Amino acid sequence: MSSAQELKSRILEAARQQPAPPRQQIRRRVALTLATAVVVPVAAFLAVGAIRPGPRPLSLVLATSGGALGIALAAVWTAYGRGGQMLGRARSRLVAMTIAAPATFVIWKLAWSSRYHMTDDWATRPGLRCFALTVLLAAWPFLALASLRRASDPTHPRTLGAALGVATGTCAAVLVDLWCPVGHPRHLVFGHVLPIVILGLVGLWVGHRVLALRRKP
Amino acid sequence: MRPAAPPRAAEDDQAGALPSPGAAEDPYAASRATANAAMDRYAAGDDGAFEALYDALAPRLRHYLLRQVKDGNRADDLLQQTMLQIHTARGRFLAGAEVVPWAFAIARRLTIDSYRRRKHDAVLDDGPAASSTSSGPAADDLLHAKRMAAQVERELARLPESQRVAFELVKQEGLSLREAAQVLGTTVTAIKLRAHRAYVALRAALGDAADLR
Repeated sequence: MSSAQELKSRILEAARQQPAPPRQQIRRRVALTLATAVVVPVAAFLAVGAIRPGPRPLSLVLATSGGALGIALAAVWTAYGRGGQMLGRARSRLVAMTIAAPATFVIWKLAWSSRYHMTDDWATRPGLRCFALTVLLAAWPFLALASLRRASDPTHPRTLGAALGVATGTCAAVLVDLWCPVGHPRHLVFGHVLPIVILGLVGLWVGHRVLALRRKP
Repeated sequence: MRPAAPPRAAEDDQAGALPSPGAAEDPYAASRATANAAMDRYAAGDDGAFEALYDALAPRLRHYLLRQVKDGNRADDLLQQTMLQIHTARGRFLAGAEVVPWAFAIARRLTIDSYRRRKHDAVLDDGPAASSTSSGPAADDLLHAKRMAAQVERELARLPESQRVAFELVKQEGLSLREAAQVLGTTVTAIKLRAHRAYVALRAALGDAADLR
């Protein structure tokens, strides 16, 4: 037997000894994980009080949250979607989304709040609770999406991790926006945008440690 | 089973901005289609398709790995790792996706990891890859070809990493621009630019004696 045939036999035998689930089985696990990524934060959101319009008119709530939802969905589509390719989207697109999503989110929120004269400072609301709630609501979806991509990215795992962190953070920020009536710029930056940025930074680390493709021992 | 596959790779991007006559005809089109079909079957649960997938991918991957590591045993080890990664991740393979750039990206990542673990190894030694010249030509031609190949390798090593890798994937491994862009996680435009710059730099360094086709 030639060395090429020996190598082939060795690899085929090694594959036989390591059963790998086919697509059908993986699909079920993915669907279940994605469902929990939606249900868990929504349940937590309902538990902390759900929608709280405060002094905001309904049209303002709808405008800010609707726009934020659009930004969040686009971010998730960019970060989690792979564009029909196994290697996912190009690094430049992920980076662009990672920067654009929180920036667009805060600009959108500020623009609408200014239009409705709702940018007053609330001295008793520096943003600590919004910060904590955003991180709390984003935690499970981020872990869920990261687990679905575990040890799979051979090209740009850090960028993907940051993009997933920002995308899930932006989704959480949509719920927090429904919950928080404050539109003051400092509050928005500290309580709503900073956690998204921090999730992105955590995503960089998670990308390197969790998402990167690794040699099997 | 998936119906007729969508146009996975625009074959017209093979040549792109690179002035290389004959590159428009993709010599790997058949093996690419075979590999994609085999991977789809394997992802769907047909265990027997792994052998067909191996036959379609392994020769190109091993050639690439051998060029990178210049050591047959290491290349074989990396090929095994690459194929096992593909095997393990078969359930995550997207219907209609391309398997070749994915496989090359895995091989490249494992090679980089391998280098990081074995930094003390000499990278540029005279390994078996240098003997890949076809038999038949006269001794002078063979000697000239070997010298030219060594010179190309030296000049390639001097190029910036991004340009060298783009050139190797497109011009030496036969990946399309789109496939190379996927392997490196960048855009087709960036790959065109990098490969073209590498080509121009090599032409300038090697002069008229070089045939970079």
